[in-house]
Amino acid sequence: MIHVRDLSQASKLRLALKIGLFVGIAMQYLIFVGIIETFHDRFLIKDVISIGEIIMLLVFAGSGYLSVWALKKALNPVHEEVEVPVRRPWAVGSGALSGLVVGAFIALLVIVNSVIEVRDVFVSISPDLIQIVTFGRGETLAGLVIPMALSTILAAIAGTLYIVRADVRRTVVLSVVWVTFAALISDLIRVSLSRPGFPVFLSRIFTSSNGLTVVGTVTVVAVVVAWIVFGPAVQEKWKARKSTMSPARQRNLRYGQWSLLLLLLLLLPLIVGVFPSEVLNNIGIFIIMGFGLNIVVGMAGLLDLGYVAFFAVGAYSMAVLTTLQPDIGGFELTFWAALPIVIIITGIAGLLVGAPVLRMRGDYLAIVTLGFGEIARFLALSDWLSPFIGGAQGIIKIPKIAIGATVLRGPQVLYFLFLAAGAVAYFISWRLKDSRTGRAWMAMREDEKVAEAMGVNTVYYKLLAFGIGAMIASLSGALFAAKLGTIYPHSFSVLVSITVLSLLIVGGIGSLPGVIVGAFVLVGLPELLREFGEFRLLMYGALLITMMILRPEGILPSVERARELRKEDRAQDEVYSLDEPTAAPATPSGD
Amino acid sequence: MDDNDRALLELSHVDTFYGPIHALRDVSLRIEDGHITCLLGGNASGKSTTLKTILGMADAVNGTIEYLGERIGGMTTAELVQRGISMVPENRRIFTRMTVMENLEMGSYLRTDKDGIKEDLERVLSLFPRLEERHKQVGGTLSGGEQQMLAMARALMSRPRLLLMDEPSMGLAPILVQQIFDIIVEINQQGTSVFVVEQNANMALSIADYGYVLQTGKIVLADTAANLQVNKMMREAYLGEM
Ligand SMILES: Nc1ncnc2c1ncn2[C@@H]1O[C@H](COP(=O)(O)OP(=O)(O)OP(=O)(O)O)[C@@H](O)[C@H]1O
Ligand SMILES: [Mg+2]
Repeated sequence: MIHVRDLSQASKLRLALKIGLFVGIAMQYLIFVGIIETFHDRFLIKDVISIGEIIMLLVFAGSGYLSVWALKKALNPVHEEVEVPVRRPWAVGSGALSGLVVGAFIALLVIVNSVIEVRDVFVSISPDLIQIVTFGRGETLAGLVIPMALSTILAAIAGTLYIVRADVRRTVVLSVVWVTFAALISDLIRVSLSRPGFPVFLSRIFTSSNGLTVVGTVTVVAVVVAWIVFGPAVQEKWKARKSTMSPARQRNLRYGQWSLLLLLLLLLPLIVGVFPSEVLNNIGIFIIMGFGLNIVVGMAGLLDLGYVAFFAVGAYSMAVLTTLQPDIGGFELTFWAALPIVIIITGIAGLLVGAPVLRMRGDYLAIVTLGFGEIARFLALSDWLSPFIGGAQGIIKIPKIAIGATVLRGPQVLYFLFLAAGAVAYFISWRLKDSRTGRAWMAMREDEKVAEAMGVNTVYYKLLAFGIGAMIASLSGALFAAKLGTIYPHSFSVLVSITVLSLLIVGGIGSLPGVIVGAFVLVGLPELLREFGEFRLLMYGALLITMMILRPEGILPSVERARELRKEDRAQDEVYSLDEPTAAPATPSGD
Repeated sequence: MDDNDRALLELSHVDTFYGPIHALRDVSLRIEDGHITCLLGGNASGKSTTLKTILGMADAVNGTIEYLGERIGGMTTAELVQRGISMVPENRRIFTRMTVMENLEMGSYLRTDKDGIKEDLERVLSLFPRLEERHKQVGGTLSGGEQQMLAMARALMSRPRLLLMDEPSMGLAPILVQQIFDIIVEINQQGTSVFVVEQNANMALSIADYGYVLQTGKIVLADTAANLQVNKMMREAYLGEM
């Protein structure tokens, strides 16, 4: 049965207006906090368009896209077999209308500013800013018309884009996304391209000291287009070829791929250079912790918000055992001699935290573990323990890691330790996932009581999860202490726990590749955005929100999680059916 | 007492508390080997508590619980499952995110005899052919009836000697209830003793050999199923006599 829902014209218009108002206010916010002006100094494409300008243009276009999206949602409130399409005039119209509203907000700002000194209250509203938002026209008629016209046109185009062929839409959206991304990390690209052995023109041709060059932009777009046009066909062909290969050759191919990946991982610090290697190591710290917390939260389902405690115990015990600081420790072990002790100590700490919370679940567990995390930091800060662990002064003179007589120096060398520790943590997680233990955790996560009724010893498995999780965090903490040479209590704030948990969620909880991707996004990206100073966290937050809206299951969800989402899909249209058409033939019943 | 007289499982004068709540009061009952025994009672009468007490998930403070002549009070659930007691929980409570197959694997969690597990898997799937068709489907997407079947199949995967069932008819259409109870009989005929807890007294008594009636934590009636079906008090209170 098909019944086409339709909305009245008035309500369609109202919808577009509403989106326009909403986006317009968001635009004002960006202007008032000073983002637009700050980012005007930074080019997206050298001498063509600044990041400040692209943000404005993207907001304009975004309003059109959003309004058509909202219209489509309104036309299809529940999932029906036949989708009600948004017709072209409405797509253009809604887009244009919402864009006009957004543009009008800017015009309004310009008018108000010409009448009263907005700057007296809002320092960001400078003459320069007015120049930027009017695209260089200032307080003239053109300055009012141009933003409105631009906004209307861009939003109308974006609205239309929403209803055109999917591949066209993908091309445009991906081009914009990748060009922006490449421009944001253009410094990194530049550094990576300009190194001994590479011709000098390589770095100059694609990037400038301030943003991408036109050639660079065109290259990025070309790659995106090529990927969308030829990508599927190439993948198809490759799959077909693979399926005709003999099993032995397929295996060789797999080995080949793995060795290639390994080679790439081994050469990575050389490829990217010193500063990015340092970033890689910082990411590594979180990848290792991510694997550990994934066992506790992702596999065993124990929401631990105090995970930083184990990272801290690992770092502090390594520091105490190895430091050359005269008044602390006095053990002066080598890193390698201390490592097993550190792991054991932290494992015991894991059990100590686990034991009192055995009977807690969900939010209670979260709050109590959060408390444990803070206790760890307070203990580190306390005067009471300061003779042993240095109090607020922390611990200094932690020696560098050495292998034999060779002292490992510099991020490009340390990288290999992080790689090794990460590999160990990955391997442990991977083996646990499909093991009996993994099954027990999974059952426990779903329904503790029933798992118990199946004979799962939940006390043991909870403690095991806490213990293994803590030991993995200790690896990270130990490397962290040795890498920095100095540790302070404030490195172990609740923010660490939150970051690790967030990276699990962003990557897709329960998924091992997701941990890696999540760490790169959450830890790596802010490092790369360092040049944006105080706005870094704002951009980062916006990015996270966008991502979780677009991909609630995470970037690389695990099979189980993907299944769950599918389940919820089905659950919506599932009615507890009274008729069981092909009921078990074993039991014909007369009734 | 001679050996023939020994029950498979026997509760004598058991009291169970949840904190201050006295949920079971001086409960004594026998589950005979090879038979179907049922426990009837209204809401909050303590039926589920009885099962939890047997399986070591709620602690009996007084009295004794004997299984095959051995005192099992104080044993862990895992030990009891290993000794051949298994439960189909109230409201089914299958693992909704696991596939049908993974649910069944959890049922045999404590077993290590690969061949035996495989054998039981085949037996269970022939008992519930619908599950075989859906072995890759996620538990949460099964229909209510299928979930009940899965919960039963999962419990059977531990190859129990005694199967405890908590209200298998709950929330199912009459025709499905009939099917489920037919399967219970079949399971019993294959050699598993069954202790079924029910509010649907008619249905339970129609398949049981012996029955107990629980009221606010006390056993108020105990007799053969046939006698209970004609018992006056029973007919008025539970069998919906009109
Ligand atoms: N975990 C618990 N904590 C506290 N009280 C409990 C708990 N479980 C059950 N009770 C109480 O014990 C009494 C018996 O509960 P029980 O679940 O055994 O009833 P029931 O006969 O299975 O009822 P129903 O037919 O509704 O399932 C009730 O009063 C209940 O509130
Ligand atoms: Mg109950």
